[in-house]
Amino acid sequence: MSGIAWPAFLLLAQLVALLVLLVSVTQNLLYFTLMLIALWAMASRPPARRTRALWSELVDLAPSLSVIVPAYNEELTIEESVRALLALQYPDFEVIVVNDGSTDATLERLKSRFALEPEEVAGTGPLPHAPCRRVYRSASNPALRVIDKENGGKADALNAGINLAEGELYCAADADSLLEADSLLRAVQPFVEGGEQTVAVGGTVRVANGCRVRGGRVVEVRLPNRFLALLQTIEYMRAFTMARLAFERFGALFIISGAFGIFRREAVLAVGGYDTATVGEDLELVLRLHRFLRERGRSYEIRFVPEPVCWTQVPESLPALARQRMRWHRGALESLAAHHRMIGRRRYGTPGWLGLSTLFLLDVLAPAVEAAGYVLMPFFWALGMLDTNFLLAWLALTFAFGIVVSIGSLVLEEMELRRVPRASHLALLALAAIAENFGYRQLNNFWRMAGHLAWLRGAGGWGRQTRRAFARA
Amino acid sequence: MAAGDRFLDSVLWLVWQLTLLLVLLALLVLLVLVLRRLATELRGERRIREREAARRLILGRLHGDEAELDPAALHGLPAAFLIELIDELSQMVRGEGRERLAALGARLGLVDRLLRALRSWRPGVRAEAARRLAIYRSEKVTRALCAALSDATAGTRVAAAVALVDRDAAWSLLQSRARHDPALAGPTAFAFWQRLAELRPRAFTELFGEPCPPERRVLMLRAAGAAGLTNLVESIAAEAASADPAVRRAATMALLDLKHPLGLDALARMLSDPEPRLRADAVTAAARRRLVGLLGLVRACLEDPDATVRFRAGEAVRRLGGLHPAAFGGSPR
Repeated sequence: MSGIAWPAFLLLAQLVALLVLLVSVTQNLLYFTLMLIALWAMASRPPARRTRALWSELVDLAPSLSVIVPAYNEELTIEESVRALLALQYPDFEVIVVNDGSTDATLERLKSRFALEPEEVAGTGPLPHAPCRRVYRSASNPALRVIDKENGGKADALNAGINLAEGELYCAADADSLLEADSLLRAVQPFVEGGEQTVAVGGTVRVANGCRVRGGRVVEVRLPNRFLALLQTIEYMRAFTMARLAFERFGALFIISGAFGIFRREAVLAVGGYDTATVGEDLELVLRLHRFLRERGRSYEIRFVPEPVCWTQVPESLPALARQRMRWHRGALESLAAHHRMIGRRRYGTPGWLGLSTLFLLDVLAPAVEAAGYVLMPFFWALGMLDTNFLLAWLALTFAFGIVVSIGSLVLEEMELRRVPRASHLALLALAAIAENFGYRQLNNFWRMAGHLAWLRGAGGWGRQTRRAFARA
Repeated sequence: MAAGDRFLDSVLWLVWQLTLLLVLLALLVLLVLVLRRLATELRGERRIREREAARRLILGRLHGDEAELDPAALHGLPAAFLIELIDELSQMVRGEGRERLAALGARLGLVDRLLRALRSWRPGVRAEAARRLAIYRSEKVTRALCAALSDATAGTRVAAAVALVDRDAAWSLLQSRARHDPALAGPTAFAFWQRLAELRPRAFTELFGEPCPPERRVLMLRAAGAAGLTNLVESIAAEAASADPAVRRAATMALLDLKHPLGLDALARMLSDPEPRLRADAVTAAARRRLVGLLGLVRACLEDPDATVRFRAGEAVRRLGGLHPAAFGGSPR
């Protein structure tokens, strides 16, 4: 290398290294701040009420609610899920299962187990969706209705369900998820307290792998047997007990999990329902609600309540997890692209300047910069372009700080929610919180990059889904 | 080495040292929590049995000629558990049982703990303490609840107001707060207005007659309907013609809750309200309450310019038993 080129290369390398370090510092500071805010939010909320007390308080006030369950090839779990949903503790609710053109025996199983009878319906409703074949009502439990429609995807199925729903609120739930008996009662509190201002509420989603299930309910909380699922348990805990709680505090919550969220039906109808063109329909809907209400200057609340819990099965194999993560990332990018005008704009308040900017930094910028860091930083250091302290600082921020954040969310969980059943489980989760930073985090970054490429190529669809029955007690 | 480089080097050194320190700290905190949990587990079975026994013991002494429970029988149980238990039981029992619960709580020293919680830095804890203090009727508690009416958070003020409704000593202060505190016009204050309508109907009627912001008016209308205050029918009917859509809707619903014939007239008017949201709600209300007499008007809503109203009208017509062919004409769009 010539005499001029080497100093220029050195300067460039140092600038790149500084950028990588700065992004890492910003990312970690953000996580740390979110953790502190979540701690404050947890500490300042009232203690969780007992179900009986909550029931007597809400029985006359809880708005009517429709639980909408899109089902595609769910024959293994559908009966158990529906029975559990029908047994939820809520004063006034119905369950609408939307059979989204399943190719297995989902509908037949529902028909035989719940004595479904065809029902005439008036119109198809204001939201567009794939053609509906028939609507059924259960003769054994009139609170259950089933829509049989042609396949159109989850968002399309939810739109069909919203059209038919009679409740003032609706709860979007996955067919392979299990809701705790009092989850609706707990999640509906902000709707009662906030009145019409509250347009959506999200609850906590937890990993059901390994748990003992009876009658569609988790009767014994256990940790997953597979290491991959154990790592995801920590991830879910971090996402729900930390990030969502913190964003909610600032009115910047924009993710309500598709597995469990309650929405004011009228608000969702006003924004045109779910977008069927994206795979991140849950995120996109919340963003659209924020945008719609902000643009009209309406005062509103989108809340997160940590107590209502929904249990879900997470992928236990690398290919399935890779597909899921790539889909999530693609969905996030699609939603970001669709609402990019909101990023950093004061007009859109905290969801714009705080929520979306953070999403952009953490989901778009940071993974790419971190991936570049894995290659460049050791390389620059080996060539003597970087000081050892530089490399150590980067390693500490990239690997060790992740441990602080994960352990922090575990501490938060133990101090305020106490959902981890045993001390040994807590210790095991602590080990997982350390281990996830060495390999799993990097894999996640790689899948995000792959999702990014898939988005740039314009790939669509959900990919192959595999279903497993729950472990029985 | 330049001074700038030395500074950067020190900062970088500090970054990785601090990060490692944070990791150690986090692990240490978690270790403490794990050990604490382990200790709880070791005495868990015994604690569960003790708690169940306490529940049965207290429930068995709430009524009849049984002697009041000796607090020594509950010795060793955590105060937080006893506070929660008494709160839970107080929602299940009335009259003498409630008084006995309050007396037991006072003898166990729970009142002082709740009064301390009422001064906590955590707003949620303050609000919960104010709610739980409602069964204790001593002067000290009343004074503390009166002070809580000036709390910084709306939740605590509302909880204190609910707890004070039936205490004469606090009535004049509460009346003034009811008029001026914006927290008592918020959606969470419904419980206060409902309790006021039930326990002090005359005072409620007096407050109802005063001018107030629409938010409070809506709450009062809902409370009047829920508490069955038929003496207010004429005033409520007048509100059904208010300029504020939320007040119009609340007044109509209150009349329907009171099962007064004027409710039908108000709902009929609401079916042709200029606000589409009100028309949609009127259609749903007619269907939910099975008001077959309004079927003709509901059916007319099948031609409404608003898609939601048309859709709800289709549902309502079916519920009311009038299977009009227009209801099956496909999407209203």
